[in-house]
Amino acid sequence: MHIADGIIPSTWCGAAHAAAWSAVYWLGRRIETEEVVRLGMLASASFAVSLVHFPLGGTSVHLGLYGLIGILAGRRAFPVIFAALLFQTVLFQHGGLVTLGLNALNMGLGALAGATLWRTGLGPESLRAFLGGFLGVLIPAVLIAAEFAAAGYGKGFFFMATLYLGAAAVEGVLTSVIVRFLRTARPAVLAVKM
Amino acid sequence: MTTLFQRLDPRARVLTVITATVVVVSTPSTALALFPFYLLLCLLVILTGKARPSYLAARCLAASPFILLAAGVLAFQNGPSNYPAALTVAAKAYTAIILLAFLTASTPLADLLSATRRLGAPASLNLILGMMHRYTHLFSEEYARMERARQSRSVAPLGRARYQIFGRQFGELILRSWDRADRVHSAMLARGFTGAWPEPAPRQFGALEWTYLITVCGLFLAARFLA
Repeated sequence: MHIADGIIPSTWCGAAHAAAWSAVYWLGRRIETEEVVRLGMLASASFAVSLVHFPLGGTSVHLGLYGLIGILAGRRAFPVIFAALLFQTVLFQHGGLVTLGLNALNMGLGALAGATLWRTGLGPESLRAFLGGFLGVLIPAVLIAAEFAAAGYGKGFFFMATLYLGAAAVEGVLTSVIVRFLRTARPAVLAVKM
Repeated sequence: MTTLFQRLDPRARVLTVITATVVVVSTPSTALALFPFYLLLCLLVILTGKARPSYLAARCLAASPFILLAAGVLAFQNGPSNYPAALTVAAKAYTAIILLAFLTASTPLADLLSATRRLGAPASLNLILGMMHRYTHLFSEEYARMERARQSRSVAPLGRARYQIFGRQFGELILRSWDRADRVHSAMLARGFTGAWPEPAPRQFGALEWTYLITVCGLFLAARFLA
């Protein structure tokens, strides 16, 4: 869910832009060209996958893969998600230029939560991958609901966030399956430190 | 035929649209009466460039579910007293979309990337954006081919194995993107890549750009503070 321009107070969006651009510079520092090319390809493949819709309880959901991007890209996940959102904003008007920073913080924090959880090394790998994918969707949904509640839209968006539990579970399961597949087919992909 | 907007340095186009958008979205929720002026100004800006009305309408339509949901929630939360605020929210959102869609309809992505780079965005961000522009379509087609191959070799519906199969296919697509990244990086180095995309012929931010930027932004600001 990308917040469009004009819906959230512009001063908040300005502050979010400052925070998001700082994070892009800070988390993207000292990056090698080889790594950037990989991140660009990862962003492209993830965006292509996110266009696929899955049936879920009479409706359909599409993936965001924020948790998987966090697992594969580590701290670089934030610049990747910022770039992907800028791409979608400019080409498809999903979200807005003023809310870009806020959208990037919402989704980037989901990805960074997934990356952090993955790197703790605690518990079985499949469970960590599931939780990474699950939180990658749920954290943005809860953050968006909190922002709408604080902006005077009431608490109804928290109800919508609970509807995202199903989508988060699907994302968690798929992230876990993808990670298991990568572990079997090419473990080196999961070992890359970014 | 090249329009006035297209003759501008891309930085001037980006800065004009960003400034106009910021002016519009920072309008107080009580100032609904300003939006006819904004719409008129948008129309004037659009006339300086090239954007099909059907394209702008399609972009507005695509964003409508989210905008109408937010405006609807605001309207029905506190009753009729909130209707003007809800209408203002919708008007801001649609005006911002029209401005952004106009920018992208009138400016090729290569020019937008050049503008963001020259305005100070990190080179890595531009590289990722450029790669997304080149390869997203390719990976979408690659996934469609994988899906066709799976369907042509499957004799039974997916059933409960659906998520396992889709997940492994997505994993395969990630691996192919990884392999392609290595090949593309080697090819870039072979062609003498120096860390940034080659720039289109640089344009000057001259008198025309300053005049356009100051005029359009001045008109939006005048509407915002004087009307």
